[in-house]
Amino acid sequence: MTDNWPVALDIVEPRPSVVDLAAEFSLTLAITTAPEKDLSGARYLVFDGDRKVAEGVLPAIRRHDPNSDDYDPRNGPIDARDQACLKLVSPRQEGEFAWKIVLPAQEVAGALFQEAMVGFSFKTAQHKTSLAVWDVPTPVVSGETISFKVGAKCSAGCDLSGHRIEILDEAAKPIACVELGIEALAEAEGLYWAEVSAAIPANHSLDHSLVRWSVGFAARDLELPHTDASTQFNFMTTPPPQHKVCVTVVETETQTPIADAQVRLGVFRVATDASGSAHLIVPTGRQRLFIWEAEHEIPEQFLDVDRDLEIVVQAKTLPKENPYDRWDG
Amino acid sequence: MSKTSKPVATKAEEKILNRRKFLGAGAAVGMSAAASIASSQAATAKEIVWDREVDIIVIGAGASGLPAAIAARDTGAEVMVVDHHFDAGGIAIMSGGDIRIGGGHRLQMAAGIKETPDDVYKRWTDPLRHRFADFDLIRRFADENVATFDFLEANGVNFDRHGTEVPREGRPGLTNTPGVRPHEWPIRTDLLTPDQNRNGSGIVRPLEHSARDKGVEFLLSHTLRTIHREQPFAGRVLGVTVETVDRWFQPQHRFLNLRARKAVIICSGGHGANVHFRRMFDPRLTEEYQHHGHATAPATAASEICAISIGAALWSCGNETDTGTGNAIDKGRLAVRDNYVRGKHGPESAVFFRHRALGLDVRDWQNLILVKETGLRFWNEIDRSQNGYFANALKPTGNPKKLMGGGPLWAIFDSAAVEREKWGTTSPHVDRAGGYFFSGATLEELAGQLTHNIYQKRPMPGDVLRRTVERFNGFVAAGKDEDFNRPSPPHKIEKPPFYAAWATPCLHDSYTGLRTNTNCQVMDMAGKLIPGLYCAGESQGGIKSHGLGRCTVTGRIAGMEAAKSS
Repeated sequence: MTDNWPVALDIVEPRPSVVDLAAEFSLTLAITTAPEKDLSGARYLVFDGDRKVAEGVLPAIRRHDPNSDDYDPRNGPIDARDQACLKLVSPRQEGEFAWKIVLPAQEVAGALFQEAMVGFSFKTAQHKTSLAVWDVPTPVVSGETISFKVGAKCSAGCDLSGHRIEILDEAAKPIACVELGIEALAEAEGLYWAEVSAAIPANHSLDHSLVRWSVGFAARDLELPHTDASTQFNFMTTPPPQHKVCVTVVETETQTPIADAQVRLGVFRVATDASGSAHLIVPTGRQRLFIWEAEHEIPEQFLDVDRDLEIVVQAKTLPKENPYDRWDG
Repeated sequence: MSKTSKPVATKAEEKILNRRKFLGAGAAVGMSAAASIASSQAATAKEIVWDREVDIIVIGAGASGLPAAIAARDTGAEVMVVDHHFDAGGIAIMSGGDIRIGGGHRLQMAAGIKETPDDVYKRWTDPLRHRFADFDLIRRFADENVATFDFLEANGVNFDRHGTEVPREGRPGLTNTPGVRPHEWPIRTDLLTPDQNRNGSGIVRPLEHSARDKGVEFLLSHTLRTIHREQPFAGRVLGVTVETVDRWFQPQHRFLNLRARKAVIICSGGHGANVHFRRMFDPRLTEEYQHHGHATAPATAASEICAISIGAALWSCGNETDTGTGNAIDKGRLAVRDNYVRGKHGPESAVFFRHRALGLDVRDWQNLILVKETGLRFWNEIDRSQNGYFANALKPTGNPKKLMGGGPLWAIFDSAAVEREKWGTTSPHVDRAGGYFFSGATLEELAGQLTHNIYQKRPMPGDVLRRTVERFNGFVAAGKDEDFNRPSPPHKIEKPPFYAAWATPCLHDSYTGLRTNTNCQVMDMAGKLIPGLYCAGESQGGIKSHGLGRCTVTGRIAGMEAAKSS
């Protein structure tokens, strides 16, 4: 154990430049030392000036392996140096920081290594909050109550359960309020959500119009500073529907029913069932009928709806899109 | 090789071993000398220590290289084929196999189709679509169609099952030139993508077998570095220096000097993957546009650059700047870098490690919106006319640091779309690790991740993407797309998680290349022939035709004519 190997440290790009405050962030160290020597398990210290802010041991060193499927030089230059990914936690204060990572002189796996150090700087920022609104029904009848879902996510993964979300109308007047539930949405990591109900004003001047409401998250009463967030959602309003209309879509040549075609009559929309039929209830009046099914041509038409109706619509199959057509000679 | 049914990894290794056998059997010592020469263009031809000597060296083992090698070998020439992939077949192995040759061949006659070489000539010299073509070359091409068809059949290509199943629809005033298509090669372990109608394997595998049976040598995993000529811009071509590449096509700094007594034939598939080269013809084609052969046979322009460095000229460059069809751009599949719409590689593929994902086929483009790197839509996503789509896709986004090229395109959709399309959102369906597929609980979070893709040079503003989607959702509710007139978009993008999948168009053919005479012999800037240098297929300028017909016909011509050279 007479050797005393030099070590050089560097930070692999991309370096963290702005990180959420008091949040975990990753940083990859590039480590150069004697060939065949491995610094996995070496002790490291992190300093802010002279103040130690973290310490730990290096995880398993990642070695450059051109035979690995993870190695893909087509995705940018390959950094062939040994690498170790560190997880650090940023300060709780907003500001600019200059930290240094030190590997003190030490013995690892029977070999002696000299001290090495690398510095890096970064800023901390408020956590960013963002929102989603889904399952919004459209159209809705004036005067009725609708329900839909809202969710909020913190960029640092903070627990937002119990925090309030406000629903505002087009004049920014509060319509409803809900507290986020205690469980994040299973399919979307860290998205705390709730179902909300809101009454549509009984105002017939709204009929046939697109209503744009918004959802707001005010970042109050959170342990750490967060940004406020808002997003819009929209729906159509309609007078009460009166007439049942059944639209059946069949393929022109074979007369076979087409399932899952998207039928839109006026502002109402529904997909056809296995028998090719879509059942809608719509108000009296002249309504545009538009049907969409991929790779089919279905001319749009207008229906004068003054009673219950049943109609059959022919869908002509289009030839499959051929990417070579445009290169054909 | 293709005669075995060994596992994929073994197959690749075996091909590398072939090189060692090849060197052990016939190569003279001289590797260090070769290395120094390859690194020094100043070395004169007389100083070269040749590692091997054959009559003809063919660069490229694809749809033009294989016919060239066989045609030359059929005259008794000693032939060696060099390719940078660890397997033969080029990008043609991923082709649908639709080979556009006619002129009255056996299957046409059997189907009662009367066509002459003059009809073929007329089709490929249409004054609108082919106005930048070399009509002399097309005359020779047309005259060799039938003989090439016979040649392919004689070398094992089996057209019988499919026959003339894909007759081309003629335009007014033009004759039909039916395409023919072979069987898919029957040995599954030799295919890159079984069961996907990639019948190009039915061309290149039989030709590879025929070439090997006839004694053509193959040197795989090597790329062309230098073409040696007696004088820098004069005299005949003497041979080449090639360099070993690894399985990622990366140079390994091991060189071989190969002497060609008669000729070197360039059949290396063009230049679509070389950003700088392709931008000579269309400056919009910046680095974000991928070449569909990236994982199989990258068209690097290495051969063209080597040929130009000894005086060769380019030809018919107007073919490639024809924005109608010149660039041969493909709308592509989603969520995978090598996103050729018909290039679906499963984990069983020998090159899956380069593809990294199957990618997502789009059944209904109504399930998504396409946005640029800015987070803004730019076109009606369901438009089938394509040309307008591509022109707008390639339009700059207003990035002052990138005034050329349209930047990455992303398909944005939600979990409801995933359900409707039945898409997988994990490996092997999508390439998350490579930066070609992302998800987020909100649109802002999604946008924030896109910089992990190397072509997304500036962050997509999350608020812009959110407003784009909010606006689009308004169009869904109202039944009218006020921005791009997409007819009644039926599905909102609202249900988390949200997804972004790489949807940047990919490039296909090269429609310009080296200037040759009608014998496929390369010419210089003064219109003089370069003795001992030939070129065919997509590296050759003059014919704007997609696919295998151009490659096989000109490859055979080049092989025959090169063998005649003294």
